[in-house]
Amino acid sequence: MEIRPILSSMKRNPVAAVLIAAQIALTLAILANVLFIVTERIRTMAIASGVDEPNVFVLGNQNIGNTRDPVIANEEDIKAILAIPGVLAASPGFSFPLVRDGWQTAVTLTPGERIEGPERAAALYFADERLLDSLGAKVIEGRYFTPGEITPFKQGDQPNPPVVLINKGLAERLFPGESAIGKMINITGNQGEPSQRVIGVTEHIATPWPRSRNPDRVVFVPHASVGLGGFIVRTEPGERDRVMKVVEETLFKVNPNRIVSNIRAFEEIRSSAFQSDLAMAVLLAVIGISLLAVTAFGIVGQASFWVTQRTKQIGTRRALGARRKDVLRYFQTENALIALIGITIGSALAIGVNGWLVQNFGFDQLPLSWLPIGGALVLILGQLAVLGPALRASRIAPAIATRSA
Amino acid sequence: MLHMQNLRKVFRTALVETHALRDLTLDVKAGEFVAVTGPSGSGKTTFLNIAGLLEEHTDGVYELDGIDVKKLDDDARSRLRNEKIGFIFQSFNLIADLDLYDNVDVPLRYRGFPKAERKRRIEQALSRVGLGSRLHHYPNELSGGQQQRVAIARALAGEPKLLLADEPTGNLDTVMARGVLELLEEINDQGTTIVMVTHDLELARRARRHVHIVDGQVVDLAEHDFAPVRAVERVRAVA
Amino acid sequence: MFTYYLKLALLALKRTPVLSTLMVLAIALGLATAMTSFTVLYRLSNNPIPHKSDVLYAVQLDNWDPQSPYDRERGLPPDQLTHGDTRRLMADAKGLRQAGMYQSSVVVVPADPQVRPRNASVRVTGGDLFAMFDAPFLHGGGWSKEDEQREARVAVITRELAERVFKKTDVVGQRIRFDDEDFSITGVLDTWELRPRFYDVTNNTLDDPEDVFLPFTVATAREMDINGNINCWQPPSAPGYRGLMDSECIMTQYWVELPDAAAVSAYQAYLDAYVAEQRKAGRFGRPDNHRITPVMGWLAVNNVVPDDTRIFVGVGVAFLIVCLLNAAGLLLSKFLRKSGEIGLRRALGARRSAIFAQHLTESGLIGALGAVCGLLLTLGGLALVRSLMPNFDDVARLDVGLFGMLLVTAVAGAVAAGAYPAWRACRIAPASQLKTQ
Repeated sequence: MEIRPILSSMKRNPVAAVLIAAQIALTLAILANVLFIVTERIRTMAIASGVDEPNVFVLGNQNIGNTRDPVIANEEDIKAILAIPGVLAASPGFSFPLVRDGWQTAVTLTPGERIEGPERAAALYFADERLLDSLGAKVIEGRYFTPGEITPFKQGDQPNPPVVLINKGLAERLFPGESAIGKMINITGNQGEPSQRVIGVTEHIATPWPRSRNPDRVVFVPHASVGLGGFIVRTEPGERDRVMKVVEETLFKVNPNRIVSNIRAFEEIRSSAFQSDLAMAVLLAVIGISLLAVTAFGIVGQASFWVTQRTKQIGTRRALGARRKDVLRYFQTENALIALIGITIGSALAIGVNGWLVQNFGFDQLPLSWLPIGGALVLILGQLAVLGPALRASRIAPAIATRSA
Repeated sequence: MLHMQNLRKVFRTALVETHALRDLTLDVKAGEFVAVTGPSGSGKTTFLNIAGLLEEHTDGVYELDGIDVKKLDDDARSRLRNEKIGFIFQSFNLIADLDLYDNVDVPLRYRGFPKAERKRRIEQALSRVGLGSRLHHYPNELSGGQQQRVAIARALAGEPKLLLADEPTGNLDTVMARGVLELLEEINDQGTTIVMVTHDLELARRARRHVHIVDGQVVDLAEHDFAPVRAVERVRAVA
Repeated sequence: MFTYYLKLALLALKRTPVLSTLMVLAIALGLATAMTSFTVLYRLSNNPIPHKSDVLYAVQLDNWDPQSPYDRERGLPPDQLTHGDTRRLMADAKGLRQAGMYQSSVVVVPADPQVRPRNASVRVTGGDLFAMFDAPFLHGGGWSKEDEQREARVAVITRELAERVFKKTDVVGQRIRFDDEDFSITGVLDTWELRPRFYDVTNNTLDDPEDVFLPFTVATAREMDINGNINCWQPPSAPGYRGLMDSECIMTQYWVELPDAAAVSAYQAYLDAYVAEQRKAGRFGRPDNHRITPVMGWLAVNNVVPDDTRIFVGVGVAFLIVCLLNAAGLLLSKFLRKSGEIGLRRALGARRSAIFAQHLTESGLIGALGAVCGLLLTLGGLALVRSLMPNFDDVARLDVGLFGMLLVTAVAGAVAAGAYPAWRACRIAPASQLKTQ
């Protein structure tokens, strides 16, 4: 296919070509960034919690009145929940993976170390003798707390236990390439001598704040948080929904002076943790699809017009010996040329937009490999869009040339 | 009515200069019925376009009803076209989406007549061409001859002083063509000047005056009783 | 003539239904996207207290770690105060009005033992808050300074809580049981639209004001928990609630009303003096970085409008531009396809301006139709936002003013998109196309 006649025809009607090219450029620039944001959000949403999600639920609990000793009340409540058929484990607490509520502390290894900054931060989980079992997670090195190591923890207390467990992410950051077991760390935030001995490392457990910079740094302290928040419960597979239905009445039978609230399956915790990410992903995906549709229809409309406009010219070409596929190829080459111009400008624009997002919103750099992929997508879209009108053009009869109308 | 002196029209492109009209001089008096003939490429269409203010001439003088059109801007030319000239085209040029009423309405709208006045003129014009009962038909529901009558009604509705017809019977069969021609003669009898471009010598002979254009110049002015065959022969002799 | 152009425009739409529908849909989609995102942005950036936003100031002190700043990137002082500073600033009371505050909760115990108790959110604060924030009282009013000093168990509650507990609103003087104590109701607040809830940016700013308001002194005496961020650069030196109250941990918000420039400079001088005096006691080991910030500045500094919303708006506007470019291209095709008719109209005496106006009218009509469809799609878009973001329930609502803007944007956008095609249309020579139609 000769490109020169296409170019000269474009030169005589530059505005239509410019409009399409501009549209393609903007489409690519928007699409590349939108797709990038959507995939980032999907990746964020897919973060592993480390929890046996299908079989775990949490609930809020608040005892009313100071009539019961909180430690005893907690023991009675846990005992009652464990007695429900199908329950495997239950623990008290208010802070669990992805719940966006919890305790964060700085972890240091030597006295006088700086304590601020996300590099130092780790989530604290208050663990009773069953917490890891209630989450459905495992120790991968060392051991879990013994019941004798667990002490109760009440409002206003400061965590300062002799032994702790840490998760894999924190172990790898603090002690890269060596075993964390037996090492001393400081979790009190007082810049003093490390006084917590690491006795075990768990597999991956997420922090309560999945969208923070370091969502994989966790310290378990051997404190049963009594009277704070509620409980986490793990059931046998398939039993969760049934247990969720009866847990409130079970607790009211133990003691009616309480408020039970927010009985939530873990999936619900996950979806509310990533609510804004899901919203952003869905909204941007809707826009992205609309964008592709609008651009495609724009190309179809424009191409149809040009086919109509050039009916006579096409008939003449056919009369002079052009084959159907020559006509088809003419329109496809023309569209490809315009698309390539648009893709070139659009790639530059996409990088510019991403730069602005990086600057102002702390976004990651758009991988350059996305541009050819996006470009190819737009090019294929253009080719598909122009196919209909081009086929129509290729069916124009050569006899048109000899008729006046 | 129409005064053209040494009128020239040159089309320029980067490579060639085409002289469509060269020193064309022609006077048409009010009330005349002039047929303009000439071979293909002689400049007939350019002459009609310039006469109808559809194109500007390059050089020379063109006065329409005493107005030197060279000095007019596009808006003034549009107004003059609207008020003084009625067009009749070979292919009728009716707007397919508009019914007869609205088609005749087009020039009146641009004239800015109030609604009642437009209505009166449209109905009168359509009655005059014999289509007064079909105001709300669409062009494609009519025969060719009827369509051309609508075009004539559209031209007449503005009460122009000059009617420019471009092959008005070119797309019509003999019977219909005769009807259209009789209508034009009747209009001419009532005082409207008509200039008709045609290659049909039969038709030209029926005009009161016959002008022949060859190679962008008026080479022959003939009165109505001129023999058409001889005219062609003389043209050949000149060329 | 406009009606004539409108009639022609309608005719033109009918003649090319597919192309016209595509254009209307493209404009509608673009508008809906831009308008949905704008509505959310507009609602989130709302001035919650327009008549007083420039006399209310958030107070910040920098009691942070002498070794390292609170905010390394922006150099901002901590966003909250310590409990101790809050108590002292409130006692000094150097502004026209002031209140330290934090969020807590109580259990509302109904008189009827059959009814299960429920939680209520509490704003622990000073009595100045009501006048300072123009709280709308339905009955009664706030509590007195004497109530605060003698730690009287008094409360202001909202009409929603009053209706829930008492089934009526005029309950001033009645008693209500919170946890294990009875409180006397001094006032009932009417429905209070305060969006965003600017006074506490550590909690969800899209929530309504709390159900219950209790005196700060009472909350301190009752050791009421803090719902919100407690942020410490060193652990409290003493255990328990008292230890936390006397620590360098930040946990409260502090607002002051300063009616004029003189009051502002006087208050700034007071803060300077306060910090200098505290330094003598060995606190405030950092360079001076205390400040007061008016409402809108406070909302901006604390990024109350999420970045996602801004990105959404950016994408929405870019999409609208694509849709308008698309419409411009299609209009150009549409108009040029009518070259024959345009040439004829010119021959019959239409001026260029008439042709231009006719085609702009057609563009405007497409824009107006786009606006109508866009409105429906915007309602759909906002419904989608609400379903995705339940806490945007009140934010993602169409605003009448914004609807007007939608209409104007649509028509203006379409007219702008149609301007070039219409100009091209009016440049069509009258003589062209007449021969071969």
